[in-house]
Amino acid sequence: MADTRYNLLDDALLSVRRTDATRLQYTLPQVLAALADDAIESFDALQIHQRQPWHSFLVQIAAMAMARHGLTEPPTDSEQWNSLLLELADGEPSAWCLVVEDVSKPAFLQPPVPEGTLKKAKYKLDIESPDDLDILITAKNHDIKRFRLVHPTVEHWLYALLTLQTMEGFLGRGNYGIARMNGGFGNRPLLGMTPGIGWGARFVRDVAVLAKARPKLTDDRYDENGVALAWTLPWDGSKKDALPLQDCDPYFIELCRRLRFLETAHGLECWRSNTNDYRVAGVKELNGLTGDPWTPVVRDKKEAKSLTVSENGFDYQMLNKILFSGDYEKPATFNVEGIDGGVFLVATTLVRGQGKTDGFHHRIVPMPPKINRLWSKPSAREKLGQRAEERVQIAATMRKQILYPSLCALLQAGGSAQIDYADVATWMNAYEAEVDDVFFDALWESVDLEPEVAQFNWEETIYTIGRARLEAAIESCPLPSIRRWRAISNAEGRFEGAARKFLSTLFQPKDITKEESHEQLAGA
Amino acid sequence: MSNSQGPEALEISETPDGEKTLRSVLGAIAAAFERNAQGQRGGLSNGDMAELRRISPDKPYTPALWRILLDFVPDGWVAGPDRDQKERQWATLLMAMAICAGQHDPYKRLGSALAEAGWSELRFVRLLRARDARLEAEVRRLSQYLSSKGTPANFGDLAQLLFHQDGELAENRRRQIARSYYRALHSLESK
Repeated sequence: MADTRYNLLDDALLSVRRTDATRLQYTLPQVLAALADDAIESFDALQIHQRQPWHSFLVQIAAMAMARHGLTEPPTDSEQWNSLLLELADGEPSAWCLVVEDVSKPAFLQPPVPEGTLKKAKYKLDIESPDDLDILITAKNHDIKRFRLVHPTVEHWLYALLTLQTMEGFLGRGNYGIARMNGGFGNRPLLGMTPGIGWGARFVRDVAVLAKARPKLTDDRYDENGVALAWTLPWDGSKKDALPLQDCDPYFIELCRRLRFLETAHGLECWRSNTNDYRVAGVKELNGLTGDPWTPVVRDKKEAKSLTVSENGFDYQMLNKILFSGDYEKPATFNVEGIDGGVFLVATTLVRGQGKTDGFHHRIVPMPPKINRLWSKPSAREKLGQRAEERVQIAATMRKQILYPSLCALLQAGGSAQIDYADVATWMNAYEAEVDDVFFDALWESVDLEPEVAQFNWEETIYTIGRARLEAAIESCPLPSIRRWRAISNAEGRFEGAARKFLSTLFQPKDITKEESHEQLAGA
Repeated sequence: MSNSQGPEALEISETPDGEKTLRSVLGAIAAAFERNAQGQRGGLSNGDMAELRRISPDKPYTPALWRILLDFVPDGWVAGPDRDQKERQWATLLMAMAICAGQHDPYKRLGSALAEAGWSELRFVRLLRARDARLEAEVRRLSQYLSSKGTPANFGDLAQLLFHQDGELAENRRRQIARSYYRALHSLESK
């Protein structure tokens, strides 16, 4: 066997589908060149939850490599990328190889082993497939089948390795997580505005954003010429070996586990060893505040910390807070300066639960050109934020004051039985999902309307959605036939009564007419 | 009658283009029945009224029924492949109206009339659940009850109950009736 194998710089290991529908095998430099050319449609072996770490990785290495040479545009020449990447690894080609037999040298995302041998460093061979390596915890065969990759290719291993090293959190003693996450049980959300959602468009846009944000980060707490690829340095896993953040490049690619790949006659083997601390020093005190260009920062009274998304994912309430509330510091990728047309808000994260995965959440919210224009004006953005908040409140009023009591009345069927939230959760969740579906589109549409017309329209939408959920409940919930009509009448009575009480504009309309183009907010 | 406009006012409820509506037709029939009750000219004979009151699932058709259908009900309303069924439904409705002659009030929802008359919830639910022959029997009971209490009601609601027995429309009509019944029941209970 050769000393090194599977070199990302020279071997075409990555299967891509190009925008011209051809399928090719690319090296990493070819991938970067094709992305700069917006020529990549998709990566064949990449699983959906691995897209985020792959995108971040590509953007980060590109931004670092370009910054070191003062390049402002990503090159479209793969040879140039090849030398840039090699330089990023301090000229050590083994840093880009998946298998490097000499453990004193770095391998791709695998730090050198200072102990000299895997045996001395107590590496174990207990990872059988990329599924075991990846961060998805799939205890049951519900959402995603376990052990899917029966015949994994090198590509599968590469993506799984990258996902683990750049996205994983704390997983018990000896298994520490990344620094770009608030707490060991947090997650690393990616949010950003982009003019296009293809791989190339997002790549070019984010590389530019990172370049722009770089000087501030290097002034504050990073080293402009610091460690770019954390795996090029030896790591014995001890506390004293932790890497100080100020020695790193602001966009350094971190890693969290000690791993080494070997190749035998049976194929690839993945060895791993426990560590006594995080790779980066002072992770606990950082609260995830690493200046990650994609992660919003939450500022509450006590402290600041990077956003951790809950299992609810990016619902409209959460996105609304991030977009408009003053409690969130927006990430660098939210700056839309220089983008003329519409933008897409892309939000992705994999929520980690304790001993399980709480879902992969991915959402794209299109923002039409007029909204993009408003977004860059602080006063207009504030007004838009106020309107959004009012709309969240109206939706909440329907949920709490109108729909929930009506559903309870329905299920009680005139009796006095206590109704738990779980009993009505199906319809409440369906209501939330429907509101979520229309929230942003309706908000964008409303910006040209007078406040009262906008409120009337939104109350009407909310009323219709709520009423439809109540109807669905009437049709589907089991009711004792003798009390069916009483239950329905009670529920409808409660719904209509409360709707009239709380949806003030809809049921006490003043003289409202739809205004076509007031540019109410645009004029702000 | 609680309606201060009097029976004559019901006869003019036609659409602007002169088309008859269920409301106008029932108004006209009710007016004819009431004239009989008050012994006025132009009303139905006592014999006709008795015939109508005797309508039963076994004997739905009487000469009085045909006369009323011919005089008051547009032919298109009962025409079609399910003519038999429609005629039976009209027969049941007219039986109820005849029993309650003088009590038709388009402004008094059937549901609230039943609640105010003390019609039990059990019977009410049975009424809403009944279809076909069972519904005919329930309607007979209901009209006898309303008659004994002298409570006016909108027989248009009863017509809806008879004419729409399946599907979404039937569900909506029954829900409307239930809404008015329970609203009245609730206000009676909370007094």
